[in-house]
Amino acid sequence: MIAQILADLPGLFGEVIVPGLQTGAAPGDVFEVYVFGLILEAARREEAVVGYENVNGPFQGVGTFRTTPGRIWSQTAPYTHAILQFQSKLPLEVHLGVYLEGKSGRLHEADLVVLPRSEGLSCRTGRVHPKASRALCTVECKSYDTPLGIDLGRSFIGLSAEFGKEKAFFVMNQSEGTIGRLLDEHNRNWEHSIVPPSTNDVARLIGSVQTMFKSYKVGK
Amino acid sequence: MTDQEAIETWAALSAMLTKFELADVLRRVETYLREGKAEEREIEPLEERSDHEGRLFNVEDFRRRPGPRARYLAVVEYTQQERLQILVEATLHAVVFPRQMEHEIWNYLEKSSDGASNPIDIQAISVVHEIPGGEPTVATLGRQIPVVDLSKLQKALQEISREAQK
Repeated sequence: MIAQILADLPGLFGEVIVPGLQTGAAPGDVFEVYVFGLILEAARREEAVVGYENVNGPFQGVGTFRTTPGRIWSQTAPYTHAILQFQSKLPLEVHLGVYLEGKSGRLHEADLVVLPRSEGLSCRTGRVHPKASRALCTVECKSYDTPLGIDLGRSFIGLSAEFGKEKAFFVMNQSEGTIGRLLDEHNRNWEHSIVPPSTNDVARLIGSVQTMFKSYKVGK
Repeated sequence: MTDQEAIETWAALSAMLTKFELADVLRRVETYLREGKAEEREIEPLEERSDHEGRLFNVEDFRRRPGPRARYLAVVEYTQQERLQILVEATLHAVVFPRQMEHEIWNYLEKSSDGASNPIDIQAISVVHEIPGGEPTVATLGRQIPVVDLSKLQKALQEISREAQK
């Protein structure tokens, strides 16, 4: 059995990878945009209308996403954010890779953040960083080849204290491992095994975000 | 799977990663494996005897502390089968899952909100890495992902992982 699989492997690799032509995005970057997509899916399931806008004007059909932390007003590229419109509610924005001001008044990077549109507009116009206290949720995305080190969990515990632990999510591609036990012990929001074949885990993440949107829909 | 089979399969898979310019995945796995695996062990804790008084010299004297055995963490090396499983998982996370994600990103981003047949028109999706003081690097997410081929590779790798667990 193994001998046959090993004999087939070169062909199987060759069908998906062409050496020298790997110009695509890094797995960690793809992961962040994937989780962005899952947040949009959660919003749709709560009956939001999803649209896009660029930092410099209307969306032109090219989604441009920043996967390193940056300024929400930066026009280094025509960065795209999503706009979520729930019925009878003020619109929200979903951003990738922006700095937020934490509780201590210091800046921290948020891989993903859902903000009131008014906060996004104010900060882009005023060229200032959004406040984490105004965010509906923040997501720390971690995509690694190997199981995550416990140091990443410790960092997130500190970061989530800055952003508000009830609305900060830690989302990883790896299975729970020791980091999951740590985050659970500290009562943090976390999801594991967020990869397309793990449909149950992906559905649980979408459900968690849906719950947040549900509360937003019924809130004042 | 025997140790020898695990070693041979590791060698074949790592050769494949190197051939397809994914040697950095192999390096990250080797770094991870070097740290070893934390394992709980029960030991008999010792305590110092307190009846030293009256002795001419201070001699170290320990005895087993009364009560149940205590749990401590030790670091042990991974078995050959565990090493192989970790390499297979890393390959899935480096090669297969990101491409499956790319495929799904297009679906999630283009999907219409009302379930109607008017998906949002997206011609390209780019990810940008800003570099302080430098030009940002831009990569494009592919739309034409060979999902069927990815699935075949995924199944083959998962079969190796299952065999390693036997």
